[in-house]
Amino acid sequence: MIRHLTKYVGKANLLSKDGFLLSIILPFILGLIFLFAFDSLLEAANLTPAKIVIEFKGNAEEKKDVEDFLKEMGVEGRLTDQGLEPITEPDDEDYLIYCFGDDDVEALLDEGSINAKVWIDNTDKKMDMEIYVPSNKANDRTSFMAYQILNSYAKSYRNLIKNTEVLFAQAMAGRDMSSVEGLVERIKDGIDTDDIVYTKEKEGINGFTHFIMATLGFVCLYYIRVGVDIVRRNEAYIGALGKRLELSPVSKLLRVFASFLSMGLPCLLATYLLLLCYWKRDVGLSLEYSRVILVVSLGVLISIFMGMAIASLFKLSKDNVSVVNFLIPVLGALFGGLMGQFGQALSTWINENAPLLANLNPANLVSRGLYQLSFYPSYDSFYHTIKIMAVYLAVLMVLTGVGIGRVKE
Amino acid sequence: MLVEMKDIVKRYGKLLALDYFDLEVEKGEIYGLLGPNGSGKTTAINCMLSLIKFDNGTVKLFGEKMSPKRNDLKRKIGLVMQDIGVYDELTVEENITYFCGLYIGDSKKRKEYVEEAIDFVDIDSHRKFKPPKLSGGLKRRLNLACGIVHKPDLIILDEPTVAVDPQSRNHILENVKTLAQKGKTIVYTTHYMEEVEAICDRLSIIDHGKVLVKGTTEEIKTMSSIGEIIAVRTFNLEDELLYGIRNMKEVEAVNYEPSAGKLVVNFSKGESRLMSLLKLFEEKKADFFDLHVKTPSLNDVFLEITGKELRDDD
Repeated sequence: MIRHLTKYVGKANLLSKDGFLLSIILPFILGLIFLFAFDSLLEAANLTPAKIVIEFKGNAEEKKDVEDFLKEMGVEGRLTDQGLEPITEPDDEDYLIYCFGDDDVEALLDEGSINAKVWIDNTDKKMDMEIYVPSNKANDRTSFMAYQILNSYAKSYRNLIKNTEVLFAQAMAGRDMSSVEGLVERIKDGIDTDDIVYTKEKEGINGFTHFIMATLGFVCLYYIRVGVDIVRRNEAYIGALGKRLELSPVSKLLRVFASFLSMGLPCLLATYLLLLCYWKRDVGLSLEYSRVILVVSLGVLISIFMGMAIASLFKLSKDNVSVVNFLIPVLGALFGGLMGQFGQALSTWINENAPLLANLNPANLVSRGLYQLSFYPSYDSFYHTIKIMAVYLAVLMVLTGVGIGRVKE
Repeated sequence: MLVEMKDIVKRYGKLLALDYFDLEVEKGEIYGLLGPNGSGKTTAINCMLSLIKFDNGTVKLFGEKMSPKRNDLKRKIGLVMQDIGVYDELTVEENITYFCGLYIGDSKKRKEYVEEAIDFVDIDSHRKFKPPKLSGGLKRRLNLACGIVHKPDLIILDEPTVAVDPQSRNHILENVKTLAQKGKTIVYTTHYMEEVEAICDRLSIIDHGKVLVKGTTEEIKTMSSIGEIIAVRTFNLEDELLYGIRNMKEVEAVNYEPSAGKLVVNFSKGESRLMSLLKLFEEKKADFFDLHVKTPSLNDVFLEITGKELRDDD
């Protein structure tokens, strides 16, 4: 019976514009569009070092902090008639060629001999930073990269100073100074320049992987509409077809299961195909294939079953379906997938004030799982997220089962 | 009794959709549920088939209590709704095969049943077509084929001829009669009087969720107080003849328009007075033409009972 059901329902779904194009192909296409959109950013992974002139404000000690960082991230250069030339030849891990100076560099910027001018004010270790890029070079990848590197450092540095001040305050209150010094050292170690742009320990990952993770989260969440459709098309209240199916001797549970096989599995396959494209394009997604597939599969299944649970528990009119299909992916993307990665402030607010919302959002769970897999030194956090997803999926399955048994009018 | 619905009450909020609704259908008969749109016909069908819950009453099909879990009973039922319940993406043949497969596991038998259904509704030349490419009438035939392909004993036809051209309607009505001849029991809902008169053995007239009258077509017509109405055209109607007509037994009204030569005689309920009237014309040697005899229709009965015409919408 399952074969009979999946054969015909599967065919009807594959040939349906709404079912196939809108529900399965569209998210795949969206995933590819994001890939193309970020393509230029991905190329930045192989960028040539950014040439910057730094105008510094602060005392010698304050300048040394900046110099130490810059040495980690690039090589020093000097201004010549040909522009900013490196004193020593940069290698693959040098992202900057820099020099200090307060010269007027407008002409050099115009002719492209340097990429940006940067003002750093580190008086009282405040590490204020401003970058100037000519408007016609505003979209230049190299300048963008330079800004990202410097800005990331500035943030970390400010955190260090803040934490150090707290520790000193504690020390002044009578704590053991030796342990305080140890802590300061540990915090200093915390500013790992590798974290800022590249995480060297994880093969194949780069700073733009965030975008891809968010995209995958969104793609997974999109399949909620498939879940709604799987259940709805087996409900008597949708019309003559539903009534005819309901009056057949095949149980609703079996019909829904067959619809899930014929409509849900193509969603998984489409997502795997998207993953394949991402890996093939070397977007920096973790190369731990099985774990990536695990988290993405759970994300797709959670989204599908979320739709199934909603549609099986409630009678959804056509208008309500449109609301569910539109609103949940948009909100999910906003509060989890996209904002979680792009908008740190909102993500932090959600995590602090509504952690349940973050855990209920499949897009957030997927992007979080992928992030943990890529950037965390151990798998503990990743497997914690996987456990949450597994439990969540089980709960949604139970809710779907309960809802399917209800007669809706 | 193949279908037995007793004291069914169904409420949608404050709206009383079925008000102690009763229905009894014998094996092998075509039973009509006649009523205007919104009268509760489809709700009654939905309750009968456990497609919706109801607030009071019992439903028995094939002598056993019907419930959503009774797959054994569902196997013996075929449903043909007013709306077309098929997949637009599958061909005619695939649709019929799919619905047959929900009941018939054996593929050889299934193929045989599908061919029989295709022949029965005469849609063979369109078997590779998809529903959106079919005309309205052909879609109805496909709908019928999908509902009867598994050879059910009880067939529910819920307004299967709404918005169908006369040829297709006749085709469907002929199909229904053929099914009845094969021993199938049919419950047929409609708001078309003439369909019920043409095919149904018995019927219930319902409105506002209540059964107003039930019986055979003839039984229901006899419930009317209206008798025969005879209309005839004559231009030489002498006063003597007119006086004779007015003094006929059970004449209720006589209306004569000399300029149009139109005579209409209303008789009270009883035996036909046609021969008596013609005899009077013959005795007076009066010429006449264009004779019409009208007996009360179901519509007249409905009008008398409810005080309103059958309507297409509320």
